[in-house]
Amino acid sequence: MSARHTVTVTFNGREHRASVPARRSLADFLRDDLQLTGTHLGCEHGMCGACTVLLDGAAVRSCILYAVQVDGAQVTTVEGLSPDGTTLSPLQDAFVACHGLQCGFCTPGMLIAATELLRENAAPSEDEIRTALGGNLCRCTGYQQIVESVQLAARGADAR
Amino acid sequence: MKPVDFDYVRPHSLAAALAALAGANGEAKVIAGGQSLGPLLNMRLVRPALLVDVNALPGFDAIEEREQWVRVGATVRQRDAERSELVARRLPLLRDALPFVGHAHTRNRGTVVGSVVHADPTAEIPLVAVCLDAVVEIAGPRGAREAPVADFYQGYLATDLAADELVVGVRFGAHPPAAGAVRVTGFAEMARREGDFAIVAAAVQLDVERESRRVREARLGLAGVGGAPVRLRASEAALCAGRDGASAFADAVAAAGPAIDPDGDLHATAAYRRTIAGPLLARALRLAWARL
Amino acid sequence: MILAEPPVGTAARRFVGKKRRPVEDRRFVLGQGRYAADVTLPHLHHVAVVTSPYAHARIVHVDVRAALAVPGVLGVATGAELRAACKPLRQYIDVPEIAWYPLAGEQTVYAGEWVVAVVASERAIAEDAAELVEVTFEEIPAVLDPERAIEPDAPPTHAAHPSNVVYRRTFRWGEVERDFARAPHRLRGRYRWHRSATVPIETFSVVAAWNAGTNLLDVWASIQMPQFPEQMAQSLGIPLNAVRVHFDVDVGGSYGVKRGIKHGVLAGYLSRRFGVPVKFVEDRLENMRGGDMHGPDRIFDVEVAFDDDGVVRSMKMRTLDDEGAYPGRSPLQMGKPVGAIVGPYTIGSVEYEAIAVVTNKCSQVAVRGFGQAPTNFAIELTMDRVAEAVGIDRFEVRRRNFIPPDAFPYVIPSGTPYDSGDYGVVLGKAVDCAGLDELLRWRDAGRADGCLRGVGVATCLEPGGGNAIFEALFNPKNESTTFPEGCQVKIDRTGTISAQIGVATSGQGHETLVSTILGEAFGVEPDRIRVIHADSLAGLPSQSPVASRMAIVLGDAALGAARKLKDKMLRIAAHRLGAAAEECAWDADTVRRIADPAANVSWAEIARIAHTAYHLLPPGMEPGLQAQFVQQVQGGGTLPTAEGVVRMYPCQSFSAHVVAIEIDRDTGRIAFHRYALAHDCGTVINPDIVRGMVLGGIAHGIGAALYERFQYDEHGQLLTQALSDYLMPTTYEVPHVEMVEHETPSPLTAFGQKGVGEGGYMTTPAAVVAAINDALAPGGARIAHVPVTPVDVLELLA
Repeated sequence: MSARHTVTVTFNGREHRASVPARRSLADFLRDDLQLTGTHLGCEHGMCGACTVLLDGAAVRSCILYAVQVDGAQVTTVEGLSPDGTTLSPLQDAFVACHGLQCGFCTPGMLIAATELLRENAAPSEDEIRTALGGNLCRCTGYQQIVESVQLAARGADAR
Repeated sequence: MKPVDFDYVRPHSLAAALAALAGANGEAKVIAGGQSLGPLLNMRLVRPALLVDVNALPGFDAIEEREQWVRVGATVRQRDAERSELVARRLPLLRDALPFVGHAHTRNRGTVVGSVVHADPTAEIPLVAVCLDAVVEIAGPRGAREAPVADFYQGYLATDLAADELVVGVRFGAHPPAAGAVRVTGFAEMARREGDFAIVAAAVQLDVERESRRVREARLGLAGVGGAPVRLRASEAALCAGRDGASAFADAVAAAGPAIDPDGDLHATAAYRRTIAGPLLARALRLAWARL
Repeated sequence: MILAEPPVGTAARRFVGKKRRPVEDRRFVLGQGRYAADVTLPHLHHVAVVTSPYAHARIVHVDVRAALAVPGVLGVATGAELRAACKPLRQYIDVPEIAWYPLAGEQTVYAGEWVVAVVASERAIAEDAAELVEVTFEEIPAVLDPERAIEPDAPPTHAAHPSNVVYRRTFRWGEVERDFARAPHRLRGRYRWHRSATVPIETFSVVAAWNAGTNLLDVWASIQMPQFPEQMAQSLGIPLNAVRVHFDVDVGGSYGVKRGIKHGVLAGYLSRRFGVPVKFVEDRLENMRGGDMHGPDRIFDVEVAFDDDGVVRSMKMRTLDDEGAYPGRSPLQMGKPVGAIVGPYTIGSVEYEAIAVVTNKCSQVAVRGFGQAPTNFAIELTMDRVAEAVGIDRFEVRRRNFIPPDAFPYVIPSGTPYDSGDYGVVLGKAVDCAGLDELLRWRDAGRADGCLRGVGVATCLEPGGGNAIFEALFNPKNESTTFPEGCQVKIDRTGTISAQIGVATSGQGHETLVSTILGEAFGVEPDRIRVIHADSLAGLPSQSPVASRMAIVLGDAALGAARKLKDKMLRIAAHRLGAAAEECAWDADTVRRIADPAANVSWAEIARIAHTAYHLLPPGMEPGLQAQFVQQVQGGGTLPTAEGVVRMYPCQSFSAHVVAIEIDRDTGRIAFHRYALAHDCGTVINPDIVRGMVLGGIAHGIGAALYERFQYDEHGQLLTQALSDYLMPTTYEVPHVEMVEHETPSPLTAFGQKGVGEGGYMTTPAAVVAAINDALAPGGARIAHVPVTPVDVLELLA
């Protein structure tokens, strides 16, 4: 037991090599081993979406993925959405402009979900936005200002 | 909620995968998409000594078509099936059902075959498998074997898969409709929220003669009404017997009642499931018919 | 509280009421929020708990040897040892016989209760060891149903408190019997609010670190709790100034529930016991089943007396609340509604019986609205029944019962003055926003075709300000009448402004609130003002951000501190100019001599003088520019009378919701066709924050109305632990909402601001059920409970 496995993963463009027990989730690996605490845990059974990251470009739930499974993969977390860690991307800026968040706990998952959506569909309808975010729970906003944030980002307009 | 301590292998050949399973003496679990297994692991409801990750097995992520069937390999992602032109063309019922399966993010990782093997009687993909007379292809130390999905399912979350066996693919029946007939499909579901497991789901595939509107072949099924998806043979017969398919809808729906024996659970009583099964089937029939 | 200056006038406002990006949002979109679970320290260890499998059982034996032998385990704490070392957690009502601790002792009183705590180097290892703890239980009869629990022969939830009734009182305000006798009509109804809660996505998390070198316990926790440091110190038996709770932790949503006293005391105890920092992050199952964060679980019996015009003269309300096993602060949630017991209506007399029972279930905690949401549900469904009984339209009946706009301040029978309101206008705005005429045509056209369509209306009186005098109302031993909020403001030697508040924030935007108000007060761009969160040692007195109170109380505290500073700065400038203070005035950020405006001192110069040029200061003046202001809740400070007449919250917000739904005949599923509302929280300080609060509350309300329930089986096992079973609304289930604002300022606050944050949740369940009942009306069926499920609906249609 407790055999450790070496994994080499690229996180937000930076390659990391680490030794992890098989049972460590990707979420825990991000948070505890890499101190990338922007990815959050809300349920640890794949139901809330707070832990959503991009794995080789696809949005997945990192709480039900084990770090050993992603050896060789590219992972993008919320920390990787800003080009330099300070400048807000247009999507991030739109969330601030529209106050598409309150407590911020679901926000990283929402941003990742919206990133995948806008990459595949640059002009989503409100229904398409709600569908794309349908697996991400929020308890603060009632979703409407989140939807408006994604609409603003899609329009590419200057923030109000 | 952290899993028990387990070991992990990700073999690169089927032989290595089977050897790992055999060597674990029944204490191994196969992980493909992990969308069903991950929560069970984290809640310690499943406690393997070894996790065998099949995602690196070569060629297992292929979708192949032949005249009579379409074969989906064990690691084909639900999202890839959803976007597949081949699936849209040859397995329209699966294409109809996939948007109902969880959420886009779970479909990014979850596999078609994994859902078949997990055998949740409220899940959409097993329902499609039963409707399309799918055949489960199994590899194991005692050799390869196949099981029609109806025999494969043995009750709630139970299959006849042994602990040292591995499902390598599922063949979904896809024989072309008879000459002069067009194939239409419909899928309807009632869930408490979008994306939840179905309380009841209805799947319909009809091969309908263009001119006469007679139903040449019907495949009707319901999920959530028993320990496994239920194929509605009597309803299918009623549709095929009718002069014009639409006029036989009422008979088909009525014939479904005796075929089902739903249970009650937290989300719905048995009576509720029984009550909505007919209307959902009717809805799926109407959806399919409207595509003619 | 009387301010030295009149409230800031509307016309002059530069920042209050204007769109402004909330300052907190930036760090969250960058993934730079710092939640309690993100805090890490050297030698940090992790906690997992062993939970009780039984609703009620004696704990006969606990064997931890196998757990202790697991590599990586530092130690194990049993209930027996913790209870010997700590004092019980605070119960606000008078039930000293019910001893509440973080871990069960000789008995466990609900399935899921925490029994043993394991401390290990990793959470996974702590869980491994927790599985190896052997506990021997002997089952005892349990009581699970509140109406059974109230019976004298019911099994006791706690052996030491043989009756399950832990609070019972009947209040009578006004001439109830006379008003009932005089009214031509009366009707009764029973309403059931099944157990649900606001369940944040972040579970409760706490890091506790005892430093033996400084004798100081540092705590980082995801809290929203008055007197959290006090209760930790009290229970751990250490001085209050040996506890330092860090409020600069981002809290991932609370909506009332993140009280976390038992979590904090447990972590604090473990840290002191084992000499290491300890982190306890509830997992979802621990939270749902044993976190003591369940919400209202109420039965209402309401009788009203009314006349032919539908005007309600008197009301009798009996409410039975199922607290779960440990009442804690929760029964007080029948006390807060006393301050709004008649809603927005001119009901002249009220009899109110409040009963709290304990049962062998997880405990309730404060939830958004602190009892007003279920109470408003009962009031609003009653008003619909009155309308039906007299054959008058539901909107019109409400109008006839509204407190008229010229009646404010209006003292309700139970003693609270409502500060201001314009209810008829707000209802009218909601009707217009909804397009009511068109909605009714839509409904009627559908009905003609056999569709089940309905339109519902509900209004809500949302008290704000957090005068928690219900503590004394329900237990005279709670003699506290002080519910303060403090703010400290500093201007440094370069002239930049910083402020310090003494609360943790869970999404309400307090930094934005305070910097906006200070910007308005100083005439400085709010984005240049930094607001930080103090810890409990450095911070000023606080009652915590509950009860829709921060804009009201913290807002005025910030302004109070700002005014002190402006006064001081003006005197510095006047002295510099060789003038008297009365001869000078502020002009934007400069002080000028009124008679000769060219003679002036700049902001920067004043700051420089204050900090560095003592020789230029007025004689005897303290150096520097810093001011504190502790604002007492407006109108607070008096105890309730013996009859329970009490002055509760100072400000009353109001909203009216109009909802249109359609029921799928085949499945009973309820779909929204339209959701519209008008909302009045007085002066709006930040429009996007206010809108977000309302929309979020509505989503919570939809959850309570249609999806969420903590459901127990007949053995007291919680069936809805996982999020696949406790169903929270997603983007699909929450509709697009149209909202319009109205502003009826409060005369009690500096800008006229009232509270926001709870009104959506208080109103939505009533509006949704009203719409469902309207859809079912042609068939004569009626619903009087939440949540309403498709199964419920189909059973009614059968």
